[in-house]
Parts: sequence; C-alpha cells; structure tokens
Amino acid sequence: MNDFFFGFEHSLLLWCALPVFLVLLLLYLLHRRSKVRIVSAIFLWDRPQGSPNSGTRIRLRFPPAVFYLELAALLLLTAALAAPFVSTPETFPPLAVILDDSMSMQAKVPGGRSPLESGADFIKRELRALPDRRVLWIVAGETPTLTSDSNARTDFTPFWTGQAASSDLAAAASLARRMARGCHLLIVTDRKPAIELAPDTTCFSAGAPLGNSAIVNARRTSGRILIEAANFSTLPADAALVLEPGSLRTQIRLEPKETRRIVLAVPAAAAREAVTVRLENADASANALLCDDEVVLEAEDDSPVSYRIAGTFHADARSALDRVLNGNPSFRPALTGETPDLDILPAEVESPAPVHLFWLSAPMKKPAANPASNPPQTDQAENSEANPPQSEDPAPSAAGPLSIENASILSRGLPLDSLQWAVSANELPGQTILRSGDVPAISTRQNLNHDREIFLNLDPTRSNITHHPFWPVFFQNLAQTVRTERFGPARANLQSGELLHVRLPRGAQSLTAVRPDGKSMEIQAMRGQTDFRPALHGVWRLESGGGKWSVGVMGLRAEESDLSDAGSFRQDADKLAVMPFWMLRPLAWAFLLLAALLLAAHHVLLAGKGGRQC
Amino acid sequence: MTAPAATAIPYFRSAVERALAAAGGVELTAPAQVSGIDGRRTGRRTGNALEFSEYREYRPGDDLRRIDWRVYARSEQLMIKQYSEEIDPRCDVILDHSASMAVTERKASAAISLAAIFATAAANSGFSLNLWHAAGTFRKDPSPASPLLWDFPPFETPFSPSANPASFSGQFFRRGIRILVTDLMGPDDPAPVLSRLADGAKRAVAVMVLDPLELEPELDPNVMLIDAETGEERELVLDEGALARYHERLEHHRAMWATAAASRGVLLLPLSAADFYPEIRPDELFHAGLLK
Repeated sequence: MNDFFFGFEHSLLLWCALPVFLVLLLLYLLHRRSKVRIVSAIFLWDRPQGSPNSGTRIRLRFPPAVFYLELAALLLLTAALAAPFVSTPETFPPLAVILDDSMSMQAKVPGGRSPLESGADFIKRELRALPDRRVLWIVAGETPTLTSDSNARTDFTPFWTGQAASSDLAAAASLARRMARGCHLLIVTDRKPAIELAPDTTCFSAGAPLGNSAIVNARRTSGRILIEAANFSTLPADAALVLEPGSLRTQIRLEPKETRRIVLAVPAAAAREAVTVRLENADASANALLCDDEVVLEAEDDSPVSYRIAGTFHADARSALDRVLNGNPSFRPALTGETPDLDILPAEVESPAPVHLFWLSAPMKKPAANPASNPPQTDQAENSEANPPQSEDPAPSAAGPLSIENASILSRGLPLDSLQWAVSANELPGQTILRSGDVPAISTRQNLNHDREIFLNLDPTRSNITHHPFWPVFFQNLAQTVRTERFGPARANLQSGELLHVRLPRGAQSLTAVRPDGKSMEIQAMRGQTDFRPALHGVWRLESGGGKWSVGVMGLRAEESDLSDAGSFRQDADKLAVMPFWMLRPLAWAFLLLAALLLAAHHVLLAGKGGRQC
Repeated sequence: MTAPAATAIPYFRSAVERALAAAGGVELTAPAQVSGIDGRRTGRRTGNALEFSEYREYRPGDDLRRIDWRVYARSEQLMIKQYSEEIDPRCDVILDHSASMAVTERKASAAISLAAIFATAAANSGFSLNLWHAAGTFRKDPSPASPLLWDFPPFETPFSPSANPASFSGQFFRRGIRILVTDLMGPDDPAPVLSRLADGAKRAVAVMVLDPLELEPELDPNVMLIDAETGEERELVLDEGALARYHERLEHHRAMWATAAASRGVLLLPLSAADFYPEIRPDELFHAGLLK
C-alpha cells in the first residue's frame, strides 16, 4: 500500500493547463523567442542539420530553456489552482471534542463534582488512550468557537469555563464536520443532547437532576426592579432576595417548580448606580447552581430630556407644547448654552441636538420685515406674547381616519379613539409612523449626521389633540426615543447574546468594550454607531470618544437553571478499526513556492542573457 | 545593436567629427619618399623617363639606350641619363556600403571614421582625392575632402564588393594610392577585387574592419543568426564548440585574404571597430605606415 496519495480537489481545473500550454507555445512560435542576431558572414557559422536541397524542410526547433521554465511555472500555478493535496495515512481520524460551555455544566452539590469536572477527566482518559490522535477543541457556547487547529494538542481548560448562557451543540457539531472532514465527535455535556447523534459520535454526560433555585429574569425601571425567581427542585425553597447596596432582604418561599415575580424598590441613593440582586437559598444542597443566583442591573438612563423650542412658533403652538412639557418629569428646558437633547423646530434646519422634532404645520409668528436681520428666536422667554393665530396658513387642513403604519417606540400605546387630527396635505420625509387618511401625520428618519428627525404634521387649531391622551403619551414615547438616541448604549441591561446598539459621540470611530473578565475588545463603528452581542454575563464597560458607560449583561436562562433534565448519558462511537485513514493535507503552497523558484531562475537566466531581444 | 537602415551623415556626425579631430595634422604616407614643388612630387627612383633628373656613371647592367652619347663625345665618360619617375599624388578612398558593414552601429561608425581619417590625411598631404561609395555601383562623392559634407547612401547594399567584382569599376587615379575600407566578410574569391584594387595603383590598401562581436562572439544557448546581406537564417546553440569552429573558419578566411592580398601587393590591414568608435585610437594606421 502506498504511504501517500496525491490528488486534486478540483481536478477539472487541470484542463486549464492545456490552453496555457498552447498559448505559451504560440507565443514562442509567433514571436520566435530565440535571440536574433544580425551577422555579416553567416557562412562562417555552423550549418544546421538537414539538406538544403531537399525542398521544404520541417525543422524541429527545440524551445530554449526559458520556455521550459515558463511552462513549468505556469503548469504549477494551474495545478495550485486545482487545490492539490496529499493524503497521509493516520491510524484514526481526527477527534473533534465539543465542550458544552453552558452554565449548567457547573451544577453540583456541595462536595460533589460538576459535569464540567467529570467531563474534563473523561476527556483526559480518552486522549491518554490515543496519544497520537489529532484533536480539535470546540467550545459550544451560544456560538461555537474553534480553539485549536488540531496540529498540536493544546490545553482545553482555559477555554472551557461553563459561563455561557446556553450552548448550541448542533452548530458546534456542524463546525467540527466542516473543519475536519471525516472526524469523529466527542460531545461532553450534562444531559442527553437534543440533537441526533451520528454513529461516529461519542457522547459523555455526567449531569444529575439536582435541585436548584435561580433568578431567571430581571428588569430594572426607574426606581424598581422586577425579579423572576424560580424553584426547580421538588421541595419548597425558603430563600431571600438581597439587594445591594443596602443589603435589603426580602424573604420568599418558593413552592416546587414555582416561578414568582417580585418587585423590589431601588433605594434612592442607588438610583444612578448599579444594583446587585442575590438569591440566597437557605438549603445549599437544594441549590446546585450558584451562577444563576445573582444578577447585576445597571441604572437605566431615565434622566429628563432637555428640550428647546424655537421662538418662531405661534402662541397656540407654544401653548400646546407647554401644556405637555411643563411639569412633565421626563422633560426639562435646556439651560442657556447647553446642547439640548431635543430641538423642536418649525422647519428642517441644522441643530446640534441628537433628536429634532420638526412641527411642520404649527402656526407661526408673522414674518419679520427683514428676515435676514431677524434670525429665528430660540429663547423661550420671548415666546410669552399672545399673538393671534395665523389665519393665512397656506396649507389647507384635512382630517381622515388615523392609523399606525410602522410600529416603533414613538407609536407605542398611542390612543387614537376620538382623536381629531388636522393635517396639511404635505408629504413628510422618512418612514411614516402615523397616517391620517392618505396624509402622513408623523414620520421619522435618520439624517446624514445620524441624528433622529421626527416630523409632525399637525394643525393644533383644528385638532383636539391638546386635550386628548394622545398628546402626553406621544411625548412620553418621544422622551423614550430621545433617551435611546443619546450617545452611548441604547440599553443599560440586556440578556447575553442580545444585540446591543451603541451610538458613538461625534467623531468617534470605534468602541472599546471591556468584558467582565477584564479582556478588552475594539469594535469598529460605521456611521457613528455600532451593534454587537455581548455574550459573557456581567458588567461590560464601554468607552468611546471620551464617553464611558456600563452595561449589565444577564446570563439568565430558565432552561439552564432547570436541571431536572440533566443526567448521565453515554454513547460510544462505533468501534474504531485500526485502519488507515487518509488525512488530506493541502499542497497548493508547495506548488506556489516551486513556481516562484522557477520564475526566479527564469529571471536569473534572462538576466544572464542580457535580456531578451525578439 | 544595428545601425538604422537609412544611414546618413547626420546620424554619424559625431563619429565624423571625432575622426576629423583625430586626423588634424596627420598626413597620408606616400609609398616612397617624395618631394616636389607646387604640389608635384617626384620619386627618387629612376625609371622610364618622364622628367630628366641627373647624370651618373654607367654601371654594368645599365640599359645601353640610356647612355648619353653626346656627353661621351665631350668627356669620353659613359654617363647614364637619369630621369625622375613621377608619382601621382593622388588617392582613392573606397568605402564599402554593404549591409554587413552596419551589423553594429560601432562597425559602421568605425568604417566612416576610417574613411574620414584617410580622406583628411590625404587632403592634409596635398593629394588629389576621390571618395568612392561602393553601394552596388561606384559613386564618386562630390566633396571628398570634406567628410561632413559627404553624401553617401545607407549601408543597405545586399552584397560586398568581393561578391560582385564587376561592380568594382571606379575610375581610379592611375598610379595613386587606393584604400578600400571594408570588412571582407564575403564568401567569394578575393582575387578579382584585389586585382582590381591593385591594378594601376602605386599602393593598394584593404582595411578590414571587424566588430569585436565578430572577432569574439558571445555564448548564447538560443540564437537566430540572420545574414545581413543574404537574409539567410540559422538557428543555433552558440556553445563553446560552435564558437571554436567559428574562430577556426574566421582565421581561415582572413588567411585566405591575406595570402591573396600579398600575392597582389595589396596591404591587408585588419582593424577592430572598437579602436575607432566611440574613441579613436589610430595607432595601427601609424604602425602600418599609412599615416604620418
């Protein structure tokens, strides 16, 4: 039996060598690649073999050495294109070890061993039996990660920590099959996998259906924290929810398999700080998993939205705005010299605020005699005069049935019953949120500066909107929208694996994210914003353009905390016959290297001839 | 490098100017010592009288017809009447315009430089001068003593003078000096052209100009040789053996011409084009006694 087997992955591409050879040959024949020299007395030189009197002669002209070098280089390049490989025999196919990295791998009773520890011992035993076998390590978290290239055995323990909120074993198996064709799989987990196991797959599970109490969900709003605590054991659990700072304890008793929602009040002193909620089970033996007993929640940014109203609005419009903004804790007037969060303007103009509300149909003051010498007023104090409404509004008003066209934060919970909305017949730019008949009433878009623009097509003099619940709800949604458009992360708390949108300060090109384990990662931004999925649960520190933010990432999964499905399971792969397994090793690099050497020799040969004269 | 097909004096102006600078104050050496007045030169060697020179005593063997019997009647001494042989102070310079003379720019420039040197030296010596352009037919240049004004055809003639002796028919000066600047690189019998060159000349010189690449060709694993005049092609591998055989044939060729030249009293002077282009080193011409 041969020790090696040579082949090409794309052998059909080898046919490319034929036209390559023909083209090169034609080049030589047409251009007479031999060096031409004019001599004064050719009779002094050797006469080529052949009879001059034999009529038309067919001369066999052997190409020069450079021809063969060029041909060989081209053939090698063609062969490299066809992906050459050499198969070397191995006693066994490579082994891809899939490490379940979910939190449940850490479950154990006091003094016992976790599935992760038992699995590590099993892996070491297996590998000791096959010292020459190549191994790939794949950590199966929410997304599988290949941590070795199988050329050398590396230590897997630094990567396998059991910290992921979930594990996708199917994706990990798919990755293993792609990375090492013909490999056998070894899955180490804590329960029988839900995926179908192939005959060449060994599965080892050392889990146990242990009792566990856990926090399975958490949310923080202004001043309150909503906690979902669950008891996955078969016995009642007496536990306490401890809120830090302040060590506020709330005693709870969870019945077996019960999930309960508990609302905790955040102390005023911690309103702007991160708080930690910890579930302390009185019976440690009924709480096999510790990592799901604690959650850190960052303070949501619910500071009032600073706003500024253009001075050109008429008193009626101004009154409608004052009615909804004054006294609203979600809003406050912008201080003098402060860049507001929200600019309320009558037309599309440049503004430094990240959110612009353009009220296009609002009544306006009479234009000044010389507009150039009277720029738009922005000082609210000047708007207290009671000018009469503009009766010369050129846009005719219309009203029609109201409908939400695109759902967004702005449209959340908007009451439309008995609402009279008079609009001008103008089209609004951007995406329509609310439509009145055929006319867009509210629309939104992001401008070239990545600022949010909201367009309001409303004539308050012919609407009952200022006396309708729509008006305050809309502005509450507007405040929420403005908060999400502030620079920094859109959310202060999220589940691991969820997408986090971050808006960067002006001029910033990237975002630095420091993970809970202290490792730092640089994330490039596009158009002043970026999205990424923080996987590791804990507090992430974000920095960009001088701004610093914290984001609490929760790794809470009820299905991970519920260990009732965990159990020991063992499937051995089909018995491995000691038979040669052909391992394909790519050889294109060797072909390319050889081609480069030939071309270098070709260059040297031509240089020695002083260049080619055709 | 090959010279352009349509060569003309502007192309070789720099070569001619260097030749003129080198030929300043140089004179052409006559075949025998001559002296004369007003540009006429007579040789010391007596011969068939053209002009009375002097008397000398009769020596046995002298032609009795040259005894001046009137002197004998007066002095009873046998005196021989001597006449000076008149040597024409004339020179013909023949420049070969065959294509083989321009296989390299250096060779063509060297040939033109040599012709200019000879023409200038002849003019410096007071010789009557003709410059012939051997380009298939012989054509006399209207300004032989002014090389910068020469009007000559390009080096495109498909045969050398030796290949067509019948064309070698210029109206040369009788009893003058004839200098043929060529490469003698033809496969033909040298006898006719050398005979024609020597016939009626007091001195005949064939200057054989060869390019260094013709004297020492380079090795080349793949070369297409094309004859400049016949267009014949030969694709060869110029290895050590091929070059050795070339050298052997070249030496044989030069020996054949040397033998033929010697038998006809023609001075064959082989020169390297490298000595005349781009720098001019005419030492060989002085050593050969052509210039002084």
